[in-house]
Amino acid sequence: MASHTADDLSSGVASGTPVAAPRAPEQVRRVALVGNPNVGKTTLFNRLCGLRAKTANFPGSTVDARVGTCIAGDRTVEVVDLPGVYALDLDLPESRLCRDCLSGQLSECQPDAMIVVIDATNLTRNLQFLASVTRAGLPTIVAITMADIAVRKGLSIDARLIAEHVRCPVVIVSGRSGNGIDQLMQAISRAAPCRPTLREGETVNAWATRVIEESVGGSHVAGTDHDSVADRLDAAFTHPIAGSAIFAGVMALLFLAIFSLAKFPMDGIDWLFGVFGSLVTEWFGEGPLGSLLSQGIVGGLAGTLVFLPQICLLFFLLTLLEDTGYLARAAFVMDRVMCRFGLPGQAFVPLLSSHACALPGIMSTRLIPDHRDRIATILVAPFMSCSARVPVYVLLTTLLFRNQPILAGLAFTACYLIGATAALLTALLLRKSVLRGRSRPMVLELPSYKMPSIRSALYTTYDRAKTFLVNAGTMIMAICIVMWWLSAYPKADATAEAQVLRAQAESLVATNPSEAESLNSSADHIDLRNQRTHSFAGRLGSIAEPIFAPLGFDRQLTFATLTSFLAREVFASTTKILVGLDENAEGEGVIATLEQAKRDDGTPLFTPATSASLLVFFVLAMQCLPTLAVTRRESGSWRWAALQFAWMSGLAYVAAFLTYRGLHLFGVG
Amino acid sequence: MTFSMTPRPDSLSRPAEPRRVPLTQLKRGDRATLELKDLSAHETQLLGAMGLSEHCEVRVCRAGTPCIVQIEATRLGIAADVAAKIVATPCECYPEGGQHHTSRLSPLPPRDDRENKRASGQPNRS
Repeated sequence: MASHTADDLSSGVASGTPVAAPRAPEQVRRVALVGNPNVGKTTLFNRLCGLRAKTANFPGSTVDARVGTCIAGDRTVEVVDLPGVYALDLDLPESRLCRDCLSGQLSECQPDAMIVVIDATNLTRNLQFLASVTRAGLPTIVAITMADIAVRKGLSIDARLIAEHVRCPVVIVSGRSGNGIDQLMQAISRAAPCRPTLREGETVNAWATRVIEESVGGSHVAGTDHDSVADRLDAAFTHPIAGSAIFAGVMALLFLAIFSLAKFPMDGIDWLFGVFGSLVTEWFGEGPLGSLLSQGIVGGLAGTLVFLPQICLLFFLLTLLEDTGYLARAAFVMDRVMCRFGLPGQAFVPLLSSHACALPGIMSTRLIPDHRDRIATILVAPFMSCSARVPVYVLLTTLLFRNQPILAGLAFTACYLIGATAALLTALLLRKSVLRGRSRPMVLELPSYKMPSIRSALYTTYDRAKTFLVNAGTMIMAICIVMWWLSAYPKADATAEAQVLRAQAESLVATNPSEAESLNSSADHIDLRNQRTHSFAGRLGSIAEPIFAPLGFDRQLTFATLTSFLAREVFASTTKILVGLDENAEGEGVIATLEQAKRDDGTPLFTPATSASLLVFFVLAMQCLPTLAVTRRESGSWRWAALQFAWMSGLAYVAAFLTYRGLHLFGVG
Repeated sequence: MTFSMTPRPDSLSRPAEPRRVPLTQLKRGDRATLELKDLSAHETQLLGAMGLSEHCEVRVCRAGTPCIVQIEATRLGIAADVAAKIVATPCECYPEGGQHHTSRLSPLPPRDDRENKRASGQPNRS
């Protein structure tokens, strides 16, 4: 960048970058926000567009495109927030995208003008960047941010003098306070192609130095001072021991907040949709329409919205944390460990988040700048034991080690360790095979420490939640409806056994109503079990039984395993129904009943080897269709979702098989 | 910022050849100019765009892993594997408020030796 001269900049064609035809100011309908990372571009975008923004992917890429609208005078102008880049000519996806967008090669986001956001505390690099983007030939407005920090450092930014050097409007703005936003809006109509005043043979670096000398007072005052507080904080936050301890504390607080605070809205959503589902059943009856509405649609809505509290809290807190400048330091602490497995330090937070739920974990991989690193993290995140696995772990470890709490606890812990180990080893394998290639060097700009902007965090959270609901949510709902149909059809007739129980119940209604109610309940269970067995999903279970037989699963366990591919937590309730319990039954009675449960041939359903095999299978298998939907959305391709499903399920199958056969070899039946 | 450019008292007795050491060997507060010749083209280009260009002067804010350097107001964190490939020439002046300590640094072996070592298989990040 610094090697460009006046001659390079005078002709975009000569430098190889196509020049977009400049528009007349009144024709400006779309403005691109361009700038280095950490210059306050997104805060400015949030201030300009507020809630009138949406996130999509740029055409043909997985890079986020935030597009919003703002009012400039009497016109509505579309604002495109391009990803932060250090230079347009780097061989990185975000640089390519900015280059294509500004040069008009991406017609869907071709702007009529651009606002180049530059950081007042870092003028040399930002002016060099400004000079390089002028090659696009677009009408330009320069927005100088962080001027308040520059003033605190003793700098005096003269926007008028800088404007004389760049020959386009220059406005000092603050995305946080809103100062200068009106002037920026007005300046859009005065946007002119930026023509830096480079002298003959002068390099961009020399030009930037001259601009700083003439408009700020020289590069020696432009932020070269020694910040001992920042030095000490950096030393502590990146220290191998202290830094790790601080990071562990911060993450513990983060996830404590997520678990404890998200629990209430999640319970509320469960309760609300439970009541709503009952009301729908009451209004529309238990026929096909009522069943579709109450179980398919209301169930699908509940299955989508229940993730929202965790997603919102995670993004709100992560955005605040990122805004403080801490996360960039923490990335270095974790990089020491993660790089051994081919992952960057930034992958730690998404992997840790996945212990709550893989969905927000996968969505938070947007913190990772490198595409390959990001895909690798997305693919391995579901190995982390999420909260949905906990009921299954509890059930199976209790079955394995009943009345042996220490061994049950160790088995429970081992599940988490197996999942994490599988994730890290898979990441290593991916980075050496399908995701082989050069990693982005671990060089990060460490932003200044500052108070986070709650307003900006709220906008980001709103944006992420909306994106989740619109993109992944609709897919999750569709999947829920399909799964409902597979388990609800074809309708099975009432069984003879249930009819007998109902007849007995009818005769007892007058004399012993509680016994009658119990008999009716048993009859309902028998019919439900019969319905599940004879549904399309149940038939698939029978067909798939030979596939799962080597793992020790019979027809019932195969069916319960298959239904849990929708969501793992379904396993516990399906198993209870299959053995004749109420799906909400809890406590010692459940374990006793499960221990007594028999297969069709009369042998015990849950032997130690089968329970261990099931446990290993559930630790490793990809049994969450919403996660696959989010993987597809975040990776931009079903190919990655298919690979994730195939690898995790295949690994789970092999590991469960080895566990089952291994235990048999050691005489554990 | 009051950065003293006072020469060392014994500067006259020092060899004319400036000491060149890996960036990882500098201490907090040291100032140095950097050479990026040992980095790959991709790394050089990225660092250059981030403000860390050939022969730029930096101040070391944190030594070790990661190495944190300051160029103007920008702080860059550099992982050990990248920092080890950056050659630093410490400025022959006193760092602010501290003793000069570049003499404790072990100079880099001749460039040819390092190239031979790299050719024999230096571990890479990816």
